[in-house]
Amino acid sequence: MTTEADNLRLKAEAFIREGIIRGQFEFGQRLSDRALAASLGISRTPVREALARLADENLVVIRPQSGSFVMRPAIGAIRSLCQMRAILECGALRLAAASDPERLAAAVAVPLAGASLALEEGDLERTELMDSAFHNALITAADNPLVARAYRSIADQIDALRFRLPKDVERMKRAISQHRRILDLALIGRLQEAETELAMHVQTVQGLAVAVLKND
Amino acid sequence: MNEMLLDISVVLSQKDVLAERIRRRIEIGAFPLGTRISEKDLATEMQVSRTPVREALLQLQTEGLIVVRPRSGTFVFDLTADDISQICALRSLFESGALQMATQLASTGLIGSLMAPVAAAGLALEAGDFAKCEELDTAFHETLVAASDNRYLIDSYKNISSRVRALRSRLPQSHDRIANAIAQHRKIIDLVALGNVKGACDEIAAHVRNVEHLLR
Repeated sequence: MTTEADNLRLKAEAFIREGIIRGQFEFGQRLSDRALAASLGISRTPVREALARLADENLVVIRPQSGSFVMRPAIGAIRSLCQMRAILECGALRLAAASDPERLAAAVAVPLAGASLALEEGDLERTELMDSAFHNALITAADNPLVARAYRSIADQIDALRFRLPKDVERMKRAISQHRRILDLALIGRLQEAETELAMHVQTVQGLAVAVLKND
Repeated sequence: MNEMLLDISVVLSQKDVLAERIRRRIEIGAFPLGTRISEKDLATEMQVSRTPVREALLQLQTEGLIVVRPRSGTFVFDLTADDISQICALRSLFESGALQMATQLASTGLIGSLMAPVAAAGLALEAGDFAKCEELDTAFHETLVAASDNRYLIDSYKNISSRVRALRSRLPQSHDRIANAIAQHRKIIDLVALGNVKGACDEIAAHVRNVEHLLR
């Protein structure tokens, strides 16, 4: 049962989450509950509740007597995050390829095609969204709710990193061809190589994210 | 280390204490899987009011140890064959992932910290103390995960660890089965010691598959 209060809290939560992921709010930026409440046209209570929820997910840091801030991942945390991501995605790929390769192909085909077309049209924002959708589709294809749950706990932080990478057409082209190669290898049964390719792909993103944060 | 000290110094609420007592009973099999749990009986037995018991059960519900069925009651979780294979798949993924991360850290303490619970389990088995063996078995796997030094992995593993322990209480309490598990643990350590991480990961997967098979 969703009450009116829940609705307001959810609205605030979605607004702040999107803002953090898409970079409207920068890493480390102070989030004023007053300003957020004003721009959403709601009271401060649901905004505070939303901030508390986002703090549980590590997207927001609440410092007593100081305020709420957007997370600011340390270099070490980025490494841990990307390692965890590699473990879950490689594991999901293995599970999906072993149980139902056709479903795997169907699941990732749409975001893969969508990314290619978006890039052709020069829509870099949508290309990033499709990139994110490709990785989510890998997880979904594993058909294991526990793997999906573990991935959800890091997915927003990964998306936040992804949206802060330089919007570079060449990089995105390379990412898409890596995605294709991962899928090709998995479908042809060369699973070990597919996993290695996927791990390297994640490693590349890790390197870029670390570089962006160092220059920040 | 500081974080751990902080954790211990936190004053536990009545709800947390009750949740821990109930969790413990589920883990050791004193409340078998699928058993109905009466909030009222628990309150009477633990000499507290029903409110903190209800809160404790809610907490355990979020951990997946308790299931509330409307108009039917509150039950200890139970697992279908599918659930068991999902948990085992995730364990395998997490534990071999943790091992890869731990070996990349190249800390000299890894082998020693893995050996300690296995050595103690070997001696506990000689003494015929099966319960102790089970505890040390859990300790081996949790040490492995902790050695990853990856908080995302460690946190996600916590989400399933109570259910993994509770499942363990279902395994046959036989000397041979436990001796076999200890031998597999030793083999994993041997492979790590020889630098064969891939082999060790395969052994972990085989070990978990073995457990899955026994649970069916």
